Amino acid sequence: MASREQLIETLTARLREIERPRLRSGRGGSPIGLRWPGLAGWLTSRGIARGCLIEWLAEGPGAGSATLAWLAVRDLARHGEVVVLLDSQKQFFAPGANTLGVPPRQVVLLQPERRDDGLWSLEQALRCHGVGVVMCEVEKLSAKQFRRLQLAAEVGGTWGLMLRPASTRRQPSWADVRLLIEPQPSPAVSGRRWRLEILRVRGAAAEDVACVEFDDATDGLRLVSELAAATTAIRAVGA
Amino acid sequence: MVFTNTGGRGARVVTSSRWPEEQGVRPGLPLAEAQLLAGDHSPSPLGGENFQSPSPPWGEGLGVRSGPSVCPQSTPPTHFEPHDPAADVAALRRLALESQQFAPLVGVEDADAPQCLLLDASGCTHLFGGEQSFVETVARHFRERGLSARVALAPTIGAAWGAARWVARPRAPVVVPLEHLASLLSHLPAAALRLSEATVETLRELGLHSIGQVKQLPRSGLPSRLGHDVMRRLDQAFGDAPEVLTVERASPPIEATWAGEEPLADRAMLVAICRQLVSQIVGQLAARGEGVQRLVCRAAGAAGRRAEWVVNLVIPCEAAAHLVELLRLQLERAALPDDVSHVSLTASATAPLGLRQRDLFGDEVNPDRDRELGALLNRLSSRLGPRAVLRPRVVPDAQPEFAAAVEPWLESDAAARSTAADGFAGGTRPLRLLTPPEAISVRVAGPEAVPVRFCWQRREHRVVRSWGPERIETGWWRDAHVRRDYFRVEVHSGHWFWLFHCLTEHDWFLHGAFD
Repeated sequence: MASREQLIETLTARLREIERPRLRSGRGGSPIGLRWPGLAGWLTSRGIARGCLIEWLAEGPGAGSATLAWLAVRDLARHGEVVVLLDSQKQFFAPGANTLGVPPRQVVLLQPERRDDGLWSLEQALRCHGVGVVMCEVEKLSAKQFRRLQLAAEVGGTWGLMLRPASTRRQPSWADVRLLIEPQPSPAVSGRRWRLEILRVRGAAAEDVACVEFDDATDGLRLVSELAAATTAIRAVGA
Repeated sequence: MVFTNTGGRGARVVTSSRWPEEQGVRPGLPLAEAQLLAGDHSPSPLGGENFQSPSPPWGEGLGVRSGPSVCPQSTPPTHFEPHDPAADVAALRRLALESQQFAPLVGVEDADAPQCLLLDASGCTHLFGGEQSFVETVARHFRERGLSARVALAPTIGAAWGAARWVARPRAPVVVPLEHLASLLSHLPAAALRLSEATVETLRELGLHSIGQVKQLPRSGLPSRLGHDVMRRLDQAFGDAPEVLTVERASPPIEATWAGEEPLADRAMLVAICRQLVSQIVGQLAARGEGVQRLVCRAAGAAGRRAEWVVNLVIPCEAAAHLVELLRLQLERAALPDDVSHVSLTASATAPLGLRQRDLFGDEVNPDRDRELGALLNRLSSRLGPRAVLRPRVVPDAQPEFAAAVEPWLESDAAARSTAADGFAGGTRPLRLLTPPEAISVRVAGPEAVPVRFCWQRREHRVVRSWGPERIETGWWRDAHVRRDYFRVEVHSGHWFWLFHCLTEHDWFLHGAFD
């Protein structure tokens, strides 16, 4: 008769096995995961692994979720990973990516005319082994479409970054990581501040809040101290 | 446009278009001097087409740098390009094929840097009304193409070569009759024998300036003193030795067709037929070691209705399955003629498989990634259309509307991809740009007219911090003269926007958001 501790341990291990991202691509792990420079230890220890979908929820244009997403992608792009950007609204401004230090020549820009073409090309790009990151803005997504995208990312071993309005927070999600981003007024002279809330990280008890700041001058993200003390590292999505 | 060549003595001009030539740019001139002559001219109203372009095109690989990004007022209008000898030869080959309208056998001269087209006009001239009118027709053809050509007709290739260079003028073609061959040749300089520079130099040192002088030398001593070439060229010029003309031939188009007695029932049949035809085409190309770069599919119905689909590829492809998939993506959504009874596939552009483009992104070579990615780009372009699969580029232009450019992946070539400049030292720019900018109502404060409140999308935004103004001004030669003060603002909700005050019309606009 197994003791209570043993039973709990077995169940925990099984749960971890179920929750672990299944990478079906057979693509070798990247030496670097998707992560923010300067935020080591927060969210994940080794960076988010290949094959994950990440949702960035924010309210309205100008909230800065794309800035945070590009900052997370920057190191990957500099290491030669290709970023496919679905730009249905045709508003992407390449000098903006340049400002954040992302080389625009690593970007493949897709501007389809029809919405179903957009979803089709997202799936194709996520499934492609030659692609590193797929970034898109999607508002409406059915659970079935979402699941298809998630499977495509797993097969292709790509990171899928989905920028969505905060109103989609209550909708079902297949993303491995969900982040809620709220811009905060910053007291400093330069720099930009956000409140980041982890709504979900696969394989971990989520719900963590941090306040981060991006400084043009130092070109890096950092945790703002008063909230940083409350955070703990979650080693969940690491490969 | 000026082409330059980097040799042992630094970059020099190889050739140039008319405008720089009028400014005194000559072949052989060092690049720095050519830039001085053609480069830094301030725009004059009669300056020609060069001044009208919104952003002056710039040479990247020559150490030519664009001017300050603020205002391209002082940027020179001349475009400098490195000289590409391979492209020259390819262009000459195309001209050779084009010249087959005058004579069936046309070739390019056999030299390291060929400059001459050779036409075998035997038995052709009477069709043009005689020899004189033949050469005039040829000369006129090239003149109408905008090319300056010197044309000469002579009994031997060597004599025609020499006469074209030393006797003919662009508007005065020359015919050398057989009886004048010897006298013409003996007066031509020794360089007209098509010898290497070193041999010509030796002849000059010996005091032999004309072919006539060389001809008078004892033949027995020639090979040992001057090499076998002199003797061979001399005999060829006088018609005593045969000379072979290497004829340019256009490679036959790679094609496969299907014609059925009964019209096709449905799309699935059409795809099945395409699969067969593609495998035939790939088989034909495999023998040449080439892959498909562009595939044209034509279907015709019994009633004469036709349809055509074109598949363009980013990198040459030899995989039949991939080509069929690309075709299927187009066929699925296309309107077909009702009763297709004839299908033809043509590989209208092919490229050697071994000669892969450098690499898709111009960084370190990564063949696996590029193959996968090339296939993806082909698929996307095939379904979304080439204008939807784009490569973004930062353009060094002060006006935000012109600071970003996109070009279809299918049309951008590898060289352009690798030299694309990413280094733009402009100010902080947003990730989202609204085109056109949206007019907003703004309340300003202070003597510098800093925005404090504005209304956008039926919501009032109170500005808590702002950075600016950043003055952006463009020159008078643009269609619309632009004078704006840009502000980066943070509103009370923490959102960041990019506003500008139009100083010419005193209106405010929202131009972007720092997403």
